[in-house]
Amino acid sequence: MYPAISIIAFSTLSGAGFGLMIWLGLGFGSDEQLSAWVSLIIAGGLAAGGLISSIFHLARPDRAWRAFSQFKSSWLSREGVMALATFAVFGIYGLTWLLTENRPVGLGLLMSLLAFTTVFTTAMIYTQLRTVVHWHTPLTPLVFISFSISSGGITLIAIQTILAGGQLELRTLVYGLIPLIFAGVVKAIWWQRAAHTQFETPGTATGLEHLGKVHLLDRPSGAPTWLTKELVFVVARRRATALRRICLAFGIVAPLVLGLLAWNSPSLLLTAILVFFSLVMHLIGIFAERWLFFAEAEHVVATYY
Amino acid sequence: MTSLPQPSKKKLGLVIDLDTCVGCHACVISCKEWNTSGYGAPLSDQNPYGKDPSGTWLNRVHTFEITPNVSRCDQPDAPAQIVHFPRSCLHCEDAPCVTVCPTGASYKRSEDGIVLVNEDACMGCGLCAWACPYGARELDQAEGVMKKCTLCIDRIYNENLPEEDRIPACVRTCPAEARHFGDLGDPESSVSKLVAERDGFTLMPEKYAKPVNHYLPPRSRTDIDGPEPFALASLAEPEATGFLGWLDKALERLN
Ligand code: SF4
Ligand code: SF4
Ligand code: SF4
Repeated sequence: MYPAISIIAFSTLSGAGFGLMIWLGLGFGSDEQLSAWVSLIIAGGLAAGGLISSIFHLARPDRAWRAFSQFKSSWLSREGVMALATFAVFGIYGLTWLLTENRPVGLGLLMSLLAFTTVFTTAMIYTQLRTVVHWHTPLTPLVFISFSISSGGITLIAIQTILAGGQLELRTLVYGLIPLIFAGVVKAIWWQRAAHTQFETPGTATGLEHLGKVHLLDRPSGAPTWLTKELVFVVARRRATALRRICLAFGIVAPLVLGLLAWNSPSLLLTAILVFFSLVMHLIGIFAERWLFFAEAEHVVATYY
Repeated sequence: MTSLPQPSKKKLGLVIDLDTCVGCHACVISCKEWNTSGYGAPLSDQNPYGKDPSGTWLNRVHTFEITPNVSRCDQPDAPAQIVHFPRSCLHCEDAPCVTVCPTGASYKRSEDGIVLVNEDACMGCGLCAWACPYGARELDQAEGVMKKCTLCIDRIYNENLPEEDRIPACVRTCPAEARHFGDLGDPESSVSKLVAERDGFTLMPEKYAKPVNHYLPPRSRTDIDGPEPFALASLAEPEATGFLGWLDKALERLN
């Protein structure tokens, strides 16, 4: 599958934004006003930025509003509806928090639940496709959700630590790093499964297997078409192993190591810097992971080519 | 709504004969010719006279080579077989392209099962093309909307056309009569009988899309290659009689 930057940015950024909403809604993070402002703006900004970037993927963005209509049957439509609902509750929650200086607990829990569901519906857009066997597994929503929670968590740690002038609480660190390890394990299992998936062959795809070994002699067109560019993307696979290493090194190992270094750091400034970099590394890692998610996935139509 | 309708009794579709298809691409061309000026937006081309021409087509033909399994033919040097494989929308009963559509643009008609795109509602997200197991949908690069085979809905019900033209353009054009159109929901229809007689099959049933279109398998090469290969050269020998026969012999003597 063609790894479109607009979609990768969408799921990485909005994943982190909704992940941060999940943490905030559960009552994590400091109650102070400055912290409230900063974390709310970052959560809303990340989620909205991601959603706006997804609109760039549409050939007719002027008709995007129509996507809210088919929630009964379509996961993409459900995703739109859930994102809108999450934003509505997020808006009320944020305003109440900022105006009354109190965090409404019930509303917060509702916001967490909605943000969680939104990430789930995003993952289901890919999971539902029988045409891409790599994606068609319950592990896919698990990967999306665990990376969303880990990136939201590390964002929250970074905000807290920087606002506290480099004070890193052990409690926060533990909250942030457990989802990180979990996400790494889930992704490793996902890759393990991907390595053992059964693909169609030209023989099974044409139904002519019983006649012998089927292979393509002539494509329908000499030059690439939209269909082959979109579904038969193959450039990345050769680099897959290297990119997986980048994904694990940047996404999981680096934030872990930097987080532990920050905990033991001699100066507050250094702690703040290390925590910030662990967030940047983690996001780069997820970006690589999402890029591979598309680039490595093989669409069944590729077997006709 | 992109929920699927109750399965209709009438299931219009195509039956494609892989035995007789000669791979001439005439159906590809006539499909484009009819549909670029028919239903919805034209089928655009990008860079048509340049180095990497591409464009939107609703029907494409692949060509496969099949190397026989030796055990089947009992001939170690059995010749390979060429199969031309036309690929267009199969108007699936459980069309996954329809249910994934977020805008309601993709739908399946309840009266005859034809799967269509309402181009005024399509936002060009491309998800339906990802969901289709058969590569039957292409996003038009000029119009930004999804295009697919309409089963020539603007021909088959078109009373302004002479009776014999009220079939899909690709079927009407095929010089080998490899494409057949009809109601696959009616067991008595000519297409259903053809499927029954010739062991027609659907593509990738394991993707659960339940295609309506069927394919007829090519005959195996053992049926074609008799034990005694026919001496074609003898046909080329003219067998002249009468005056021509005498002239022939006379010329041969002069030679
Ligand atoms: S062949 Fe593809 S586009 Fe046509 S109905 Fe089936 S899934 Fe949809
Ligand atoms: S490209 Fe158009 S028809 Fe296809 S799923 Fe998106 S909105 Fe629906
Ligand atoms: S039925 Fe019509 S639209 Fe479909 S492939 Fe044939 S000519 Fe093209």
